[in-house]
This record gives sequence, C-alpha cells and structure tokens, in this order.
Amino acid sequence: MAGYYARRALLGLSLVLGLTVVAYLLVYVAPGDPAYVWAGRPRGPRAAEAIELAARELGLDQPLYVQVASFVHRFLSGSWGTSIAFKRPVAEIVLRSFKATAELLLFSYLVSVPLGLSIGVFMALRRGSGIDLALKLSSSLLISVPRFWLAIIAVLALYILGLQPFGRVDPRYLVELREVTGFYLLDSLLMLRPDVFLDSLARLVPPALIVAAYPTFYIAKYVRFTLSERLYEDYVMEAVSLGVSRGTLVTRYALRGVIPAVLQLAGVNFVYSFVDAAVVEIVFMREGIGRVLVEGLLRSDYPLIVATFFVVSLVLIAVNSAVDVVQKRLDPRVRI
Amino acid sequence: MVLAPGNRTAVLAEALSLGYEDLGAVFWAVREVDLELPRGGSLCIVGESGSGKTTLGNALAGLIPPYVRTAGRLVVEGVEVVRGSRIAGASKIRGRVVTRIPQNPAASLNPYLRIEEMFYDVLRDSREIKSRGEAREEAVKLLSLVGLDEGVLHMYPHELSGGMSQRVAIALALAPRPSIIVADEPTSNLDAYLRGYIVRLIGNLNRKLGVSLVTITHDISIVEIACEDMAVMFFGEIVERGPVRDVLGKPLHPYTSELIEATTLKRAGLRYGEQTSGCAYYARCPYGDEECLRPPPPARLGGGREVRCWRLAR
Repeated sequence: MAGYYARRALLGLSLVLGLTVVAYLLVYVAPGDPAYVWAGRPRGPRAAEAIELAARELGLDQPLYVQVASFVHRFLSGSWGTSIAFKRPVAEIVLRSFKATAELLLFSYLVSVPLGLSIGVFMALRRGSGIDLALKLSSSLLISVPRFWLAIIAVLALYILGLQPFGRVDPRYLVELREVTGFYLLDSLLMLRPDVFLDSLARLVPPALIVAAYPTFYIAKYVRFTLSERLYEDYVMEAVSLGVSRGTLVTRYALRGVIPAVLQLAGVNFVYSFVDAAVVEIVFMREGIGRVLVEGLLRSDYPLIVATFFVVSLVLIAVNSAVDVVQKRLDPRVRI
Repeated sequence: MVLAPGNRTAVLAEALSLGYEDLGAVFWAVREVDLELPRGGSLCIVGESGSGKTTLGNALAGLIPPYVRTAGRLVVEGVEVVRGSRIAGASKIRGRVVTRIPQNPAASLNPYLRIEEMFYDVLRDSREIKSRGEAREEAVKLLSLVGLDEGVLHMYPHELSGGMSQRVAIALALAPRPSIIVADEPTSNLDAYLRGYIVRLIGNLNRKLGVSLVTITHDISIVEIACEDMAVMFFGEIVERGPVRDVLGKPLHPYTSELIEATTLKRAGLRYGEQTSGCAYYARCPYGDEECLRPPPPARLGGGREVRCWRLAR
C-alpha cells in the first residue's frame, strides 16, 4: 500500500520535472525574442547592442543544455525570476492568479460532479421517457456550445437584470479585503463580512456554472449510458431476484461500479476546464491563471509562461494522482 | 415464507408464452408451456442453449423485465404473476416466496461489497432484519448450511473460488426463506468433483428443507440426483414431461433420446433446419413426416407423463 503511494508520488515528481524541461524548450522554439522585450523593445543604431546585453543578462547566450540545466535548478530551488511583462516576481503573480482560478474551478466541480451524477441517475432510471430525451438533447447542446458564447450571453443577461457580473468582488471592498487564504469566499467569512461574501459569491456563481456546464453534462451522459447497462449486469439482476430494494439496488449495486469511472472522468475533464476557465475569466474580467498565461504569451514573457505552465501541470498531476488513489480505494479488486 | 392454506400448488403455468419484441415482430422464447409443480416437489427443466429454459426459469423467479411480451397464465404460490399480456405480481414474489440460484455465481455477487454486506442487504430488505449483529448471526447459520464458515463474511467475491461463490450464492438464495428456489444451470461453471457436491446440496434443499425446487440444466446427468420430475424443452416448447425415472428409463420423444445420447459424447455433427409452424422438432427429427407439419397435441399417458409427438398421438 505505502509502496504504491510512494511509486505514484515518484511518478508524479518525474512528470513535473520532465514538464518543466519541455516547457522551457517550447518557449525556446516559440516565435518572439525575450531579450528584445527585456531590453524594452529598443530602436535605433545601438539597439542590437542593448538586445545582446539583455540576452547575456537572461543567460540566453549560453548553450541550450546549460540554459535548461540552470533553469531547472533555479526553478526547483524556488526562485522563479521576474516577469518580463509585469516586472514583478513571477511567484507572486502566478500564486495570486492561481488562487482566483482555483476558487472558480473548485466551486465548479463541487457543483458539477454531484449534479452530473444525479442527472445521470435520474435519466437512467427513466430511460426512453420524454424527460430522458429532453435532458439528452439539452446536455448535447450544453456540451457543444462554445464557452465564450455562453459567457457573453450570461454577462448580457446579468447586465440587463441590473446585476454587476464583472471581477471577483466589488472594487469598494477590495481595499478592505484582507487576503488570508486568497480565496475571497473564505477571506470574507474570516472577516465576518457577510455582505462581502454574498457579493463575491454572486460574482462567482455565473462564471462557475458556465465552466461547470461541460463536466456536469458530460458526466450525466456517461452515467446515463453506463448505469443503464449496469442495471442488467448479472450481480444487479441477482440482487433484484433476492428482493433487494430499489434504492439500495441503484446506489450500492449499480452505481458502485460507475462512481470510480466518474471520478476518473472528472479528473480528465479538469484539464479542459482550465482552458474553459481562461476564456470565461476573460469575458467576466476576473483575475486568473488563464488570463496571465494569455498575456504572458503575447509578450514573450517566458519566466511567467513557464511558471504558469508548471503550476497548471502540477495541479493536473496532483488531481489525477488523487483520483487514481481514490479509485483504488473504491474498487477492492484493484491491487495496490 | 408465505403459505396460503389449502393451496398445494407451488407453480402453475397454463399456456404460458414469453417473448421479446424485435423490430416490431415478437420472438417467442417460451411457447404455450403448461407446468404444475406441487408444493415441496422438485422439477428439472432440461434443454439445450436457446431452448428458452432460462427465460422460463427467470419468469418463475419473478424476473420479467417490462419489455417482455407475455401470454397465458403463471401463478406462483397463489400470486398471479402473468395474466395474458399483463405482468402483475412479479415484484411481490421475487426475493420473498421465490429466489434464484444464478447461472454464473462469480458474476452474480457484487464485486464491490463484502459477502457480509450482501447478506445484510438481502436480510434487511426481505426479512426486515435491521440490526447488523442479528444479520451476521443469520448469515453464519445460512453459510453453515452450505458448509462454509464465517470467515467468508469478510471476503470480497473475487477472493472466493468457483465452488465457494456457488455455495455463497446458494446461502444468499436461502436468506429470504423462500418456499421456492429456481436454480439456473447451477453446475455449468464447476468441475466434475464440485458438480456432484453442489447438485446434492441443491437436491437436499428440497429433500431436507422442504423447499420446492426448479432446476434448469442442459446436463441430463444431474437430473436424477436433483429432481423427481422433469420437463424437456425444445425451442420454447415442453416436448416431454414426467417423473425422472420414467422419462430417462423410457424416453418417448425423439428429442429426449437425443439429449440422453448426447451425454455419451458419441454424437458428431448437428442438424439444423427451418422452423415450421408444426412440430418444433420437425427439422431435426429422424422420424418426421407430413403430419408433423401440424402442431402435435399433447399425449397424456398417465402417471404424470405427457409427450408432444405425433407418433404417440396416433
């Protein structure tokens, strides 16, 4: 058991290391010259000299393997450098925007996994009925409609209703807000300020629901089809013949085999949701890791890009490892 | 156990038909079957794969999915389960008066639950035993009936051998205290040594516990040990029925002879042909003539024997 967790952790760490190297190489081959940006986009006769100086300062004149090695060393020892675009410590920018995105994504998934499961079970137990068909159609629609379009419609609707949907919290509160955890919902509760809590919740719910739409209905569809099959599985039929009640039958027999797969599905979907979150954050003018990544890319801000890439990868690896571990615990047949 | 006073019939089927709808047409897996099993009796239903015996057995156990088409009548322990196209009392009998020993016990036990949990679920829902301790005591008693000790309770199904899972499945089938047990191919996944043991165990449920028993099998060699009466099924119809000793001693339907002959493994080659609206066995029968193109009436021969064959009807 412990050996399995150790191996899983080791695998995760080597993945992180590999990804850091890949991230650096990707930026290296990407178009755009970081030295040019670092030197302040110089023009004129001595521009070439300034760019060369900047390149030396950034270590870009070294051979590639030296660049990679020193980058990995510096990165893993915690000095992530300064953002070229924002001229502020990368760690600070990434951490701050990461918390904003985490708040959004956590909220989305806390809604979407139970909701998707419930809708799926509801559909499976009424398969073939009108409501099943209606839910099937609307889930296909909500899975395929582009996120930015949904976000724009939501912003317009909220605006017409006289609600202020933008940002994470009303700018009035921003001065008072003491950031303890960086999650505004928690911080406002710690400050004992229900008004701030409600304001940030009201601004969080619409974008979170838009991000949640995809995983919710993806899970619902999956559960609908898998559970329908499971209901005819030998061991479910056997429980039926032994007179086990319907509720127990669905939760303890049919659904037991579906839940580990749903968690895996949620883990994989988390990757897509990061991209969705970036789009939705931009429309709703929220801070977030997606926005930071887009701005960094536009300005060849390689320390920022690599750090963002690193943090996102770390989260995805952590989420998927956690899902694997949970799945192992749920299925007694899987040997650890 | 539900015992209606004065009612001495466990299972009664009258012209029972069960079918599946496929692209608008109905395929009848069970055709106009007449059966009567007295309370405390034991009946083997014998036939090859696809003869409709599992569909019939499931119906007797109250397992009739809503999409199944029905005709005729089926009464189990006084509860009318099928009346014409209506399926009414299936949920009243299953897990109460009748349970089923499954065909493939390894796949029939919930892989995510320990054996103890399964006993708890069944005992709670069928016998209102709410306390875990009481359920555990009862489970230990049931397991001792099939020769297993309480150590099994902590195990998951994948940790059991084939014979052990079959015995657990039998103990689970006994848990609701049914008056009828339907055993569906109880030996098909077992080796020869275990087969004898399990068949005797199932036969003893009838002989020692007095449970009415329906055993479904393709293996004619277990019939003598498990049952007193037998019915031979072919293509959804019961072609011959009667006491086991008489039927096996002097088979009257050519298909019964074929089945008995098949156990010696001397038969090579299979004959298949188009189904006609007449005798179900016509295409494979060595004695078929024009008369067989009409359905043969059942010939009642006394002593509970009944054969559907023109050779006897004449």
